Amino acid sequence: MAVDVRRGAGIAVLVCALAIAVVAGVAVGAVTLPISAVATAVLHPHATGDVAAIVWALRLPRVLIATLVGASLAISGSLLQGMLRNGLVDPYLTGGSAGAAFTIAVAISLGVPQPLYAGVAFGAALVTTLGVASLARSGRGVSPERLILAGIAVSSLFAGLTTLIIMLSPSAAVSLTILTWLGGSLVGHGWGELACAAAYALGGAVVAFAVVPALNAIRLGDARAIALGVNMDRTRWLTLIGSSLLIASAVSVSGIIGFVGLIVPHVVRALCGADMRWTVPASIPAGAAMVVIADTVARTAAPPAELPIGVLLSVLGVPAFLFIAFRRRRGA
Amino acid sequence: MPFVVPALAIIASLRIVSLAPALTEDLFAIGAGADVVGVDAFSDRPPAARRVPRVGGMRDVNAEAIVALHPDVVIGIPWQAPSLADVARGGVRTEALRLDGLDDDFRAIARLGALTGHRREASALVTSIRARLAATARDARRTRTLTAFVALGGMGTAGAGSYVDTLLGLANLRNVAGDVHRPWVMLSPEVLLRAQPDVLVVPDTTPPFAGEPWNRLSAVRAGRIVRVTEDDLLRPGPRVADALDAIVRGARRWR
Amino acid sequence: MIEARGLALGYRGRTVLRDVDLSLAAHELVAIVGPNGAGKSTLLRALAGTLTPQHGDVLVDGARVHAMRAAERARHVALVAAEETADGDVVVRDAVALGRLAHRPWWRWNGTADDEAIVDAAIARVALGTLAERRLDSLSSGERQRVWIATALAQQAPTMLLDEPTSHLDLAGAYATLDLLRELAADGAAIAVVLHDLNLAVASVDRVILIGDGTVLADGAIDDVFRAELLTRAYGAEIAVRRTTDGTMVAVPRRRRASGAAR
Repeated sequence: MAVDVRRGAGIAVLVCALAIAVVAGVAVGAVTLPISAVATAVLHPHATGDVAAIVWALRLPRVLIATLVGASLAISGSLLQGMLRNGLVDPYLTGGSAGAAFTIAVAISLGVPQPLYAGVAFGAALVTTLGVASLARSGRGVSPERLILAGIAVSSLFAGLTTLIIMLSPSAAVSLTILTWLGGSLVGHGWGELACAAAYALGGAVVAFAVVPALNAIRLGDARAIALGVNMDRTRWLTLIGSSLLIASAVSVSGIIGFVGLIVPHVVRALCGADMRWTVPASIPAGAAMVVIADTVARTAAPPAELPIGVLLSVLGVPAFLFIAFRRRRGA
Repeated sequence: MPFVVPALAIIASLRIVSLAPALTEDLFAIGAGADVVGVDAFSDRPPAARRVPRVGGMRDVNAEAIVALHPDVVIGIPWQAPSLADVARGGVRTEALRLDGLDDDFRAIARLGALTGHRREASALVTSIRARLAATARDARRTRTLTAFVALGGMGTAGAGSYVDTLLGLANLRNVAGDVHRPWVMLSPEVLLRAQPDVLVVPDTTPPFAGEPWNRLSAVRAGRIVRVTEDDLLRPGPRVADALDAIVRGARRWR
Repeated sequence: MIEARGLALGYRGRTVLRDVDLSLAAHELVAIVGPNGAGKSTLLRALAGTLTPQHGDVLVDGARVHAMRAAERARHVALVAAEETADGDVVVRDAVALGRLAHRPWWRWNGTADDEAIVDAAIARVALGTLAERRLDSLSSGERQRVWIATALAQQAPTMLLDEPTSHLDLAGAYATLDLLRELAADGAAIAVVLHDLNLAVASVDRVILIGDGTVLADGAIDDVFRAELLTRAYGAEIAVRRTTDGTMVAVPRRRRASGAAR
């Protein structure tokens, strides 16, 4: 059918964009390396020397982590926008990231070794998200409006507590570390953290894919979905758990990176329509490409220094967000 | 009336509130410690400063508490402009002293000397610090130049012209971030890996290095890490020469 | 097939309907009528299993509907609710295909070939074949109503409950809808439809259930239900029943003179 061909083309475009972004991300960096040297290093993982170290210890894991973070945030955004039937929802609205950020700030202050951050972030994100969901419980199940309100309240609470941690820290080095981490950064993570984050993201993706049929039914209206046999409670809980697994995976390695979960679902819907069987899978290359490109820019725009990616995405994201919001207003 | 002037000087001794630990140290170092009636919560050196009443943190200053102390002047750093403005609205005189670089430090000491009437002690302090710095730098120049990276939190480091960068220069250490003319720089890990600095200079509160790119740095593998008391490394105060000494001593093993 | 015994229905301490006993069998088309706020939608939701009764039980095909899980319930009874906002860009075929959701594991994305055949049949049954690839927001309200009926058909539930399916339709559309429902009942479904228009009910069905005054006032053939005193009690207004020249019964509100006295 013509529609499916168009959607397939949309996904193909996104996958190509991701492939180009990944290649570019490995090829360029603060240290200019000849392409041939990079290619050789990629093909010889066990070589020694500067170039191999930069490519295999720094660039490759970083680009792969960027891919993972972008895909996770994008899927999470698609899920939540589908469940709440609201295109202005960002995954951070459910409070999970703020809780994760706070817990990691505490971990940094206490000198917890860095490899443990992922587990800490995940635990915190899950507990916070489920806590917010419990707060949002009304008569039957989770009410979307109360979810957004509870999420905002909890996010503000944790943001304040995180600021408190920074201010009370007796060590300037610790405060600086927390601040840089909050600004969003993909620095300092290797294959171990990638594997850990990938495990959480995979779990979240499995849950996300399972919830797709129910979310499609919800596009007909909540009452209709229930009449068609959708278990709303289960759907809402799974959506929250899935998205919090994905958010925790992203936050544990990248700090606070916003706007990806907000904007990518819109881009994907513009290319592939709003059928969740297309938007959820398409979110993967779309979100991944966005973060890989942003991280590459952050790494190479002002060498030898690096820009914080979270800030960069906010600067790019705010105009995009306003464009989306006002376009919807005009069309409404 | 020769008796009156010194008498007036005793009666009219200055009441100063200091909002920055480095400035507090300066005040005590020039003999004006008795004039200090209020300090921020982080001013913990010298030990006598701990007995002075606290008036808040460095950002969340309690303007009312300050005004209640009836100080003659409140000093801080430019970064604390909002808090100083608050205090000024309460009718108290304020002054902001820059502490971005080494020269700022000397200027601040001199200014504090003028404010508190301890000009002689202030200029003597500056002279002695300069002398010690010059001597240490001279000795350091006779040794081999090493490259260094100052790790202030992740990839955060000090750029050219900053206080820490100046110390490195005096210690005959070349800052790998010395091309960036900003006080605070997030350095690319690739650049650091390429540079393979000879030593790392870190505050003593830094946790052990783990993960990338640290475990690829020969300096980390060989343990060539110079740990300096955090307050000495990050506060441009009267103990500059001590900080420089610590850096040079620490690096000497590997020259 | 539905059986309700001793139902009391309400929300949060307030009881809207009490002492409700009714049953609905295959091949039946029943209209549920009554004034606004009488509890018609409430009754329908209780019968569909989406509202828990304060008292009493609803048995669907012999089993308690409120003990069923969502998917099982959807296989036994199809509820076509009053108009609710659906995403306008949903395609007709995809909407009808969602009717098959209850017949496969909840996590499966697509139906089988059998499911596709059932969907095609449902679309054909409501004569939407030429519009199957269109978006919902490009259809008229009559066509959209047929989409929801097709979706209910795809559910292949023996019982179908519809809540005011004709309220947004013009006269022709309303009659066409009821004709379709009569055909479906003749094919074997048990269908109950809430109608706001008494006279539309009279013209289309053989059995009427009149709700009013907090309970079921009448349940039976039109002649038994369409009585002036019952209708007046239900609607709280003077209603007269007239017979037209060809024998059709019509309910008419009694006119009042300006002075307030009934004529």
